[in-house]
Amino acid sequence: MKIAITSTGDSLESRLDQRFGRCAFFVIYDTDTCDIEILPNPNKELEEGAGPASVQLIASRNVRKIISGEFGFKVKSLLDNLKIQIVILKDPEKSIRDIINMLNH
Amino acid sequence: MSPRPVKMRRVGKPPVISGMKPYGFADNRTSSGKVFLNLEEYESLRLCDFLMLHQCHAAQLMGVSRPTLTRIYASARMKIAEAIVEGKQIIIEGGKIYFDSSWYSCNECGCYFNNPGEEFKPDECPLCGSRMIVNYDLLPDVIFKDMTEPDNIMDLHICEPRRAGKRRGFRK
Repeated sequence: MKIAITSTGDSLESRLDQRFGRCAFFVIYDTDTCDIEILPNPNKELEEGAGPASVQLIASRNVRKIISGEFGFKVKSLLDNLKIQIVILKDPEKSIRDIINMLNH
Repeated sequence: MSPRPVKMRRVGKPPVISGMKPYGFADNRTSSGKVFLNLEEYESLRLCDFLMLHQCHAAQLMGVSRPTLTRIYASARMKIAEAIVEGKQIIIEGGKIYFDSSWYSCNECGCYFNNPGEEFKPDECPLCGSRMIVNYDLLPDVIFKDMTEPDNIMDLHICEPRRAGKRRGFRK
């Protein structure tokens, strides 16, 4: 299963980005193969609709779960329709490596 | 005085069809009217008859009181009966509803998560795999009293299941 994590930087040491639509990078982690893919977020500077655009990007990679700090109201119904699980983690101190370790529990 | 406004009802899953049409009329008619089934009535039918939940449980999932759920459900059955008996078309639309899945919170890592498309409580936290999860929608103070027994947490606000040969209303 693929899981998207919002990240502030492009390394595993960077922190969890607290915003979904305007995060700096998406880290896509595959729990079956342990592959990690890091995508820069092209929607970061959009004035409007960054959330839905990011959902489209994430959905095109067949992600089943998203971990972030906060999700906007436009995103919620889109993700419900796509049956993508939302995980809200309000802990800006957590690094991407910590989260991947948690996922491997 | 104005009446109390109707509460928003939660619908877990949108219907897969927008209605149903009758066919094969005995007297060669083509149609005999329409019945409008609200989405909340559809949801009550789905919870009570399809998922076979108890009305108290269904009421909690829809965010209304048990008597209200019973009224919605009764109205749904009347409409379905009318449609079948009189050969009417069923159209599923309208209703004071919002779509949402339940929210849960994990006591181990402190995350919140939902479970789209699923009605029942997930077994473990999607992040850390802990089993210490609580339903965030029904999160009153009571739940925190009994954190030591995670299996009991979810059942606190759900009616005792009816069992044959056992009096209702008593807990062990």
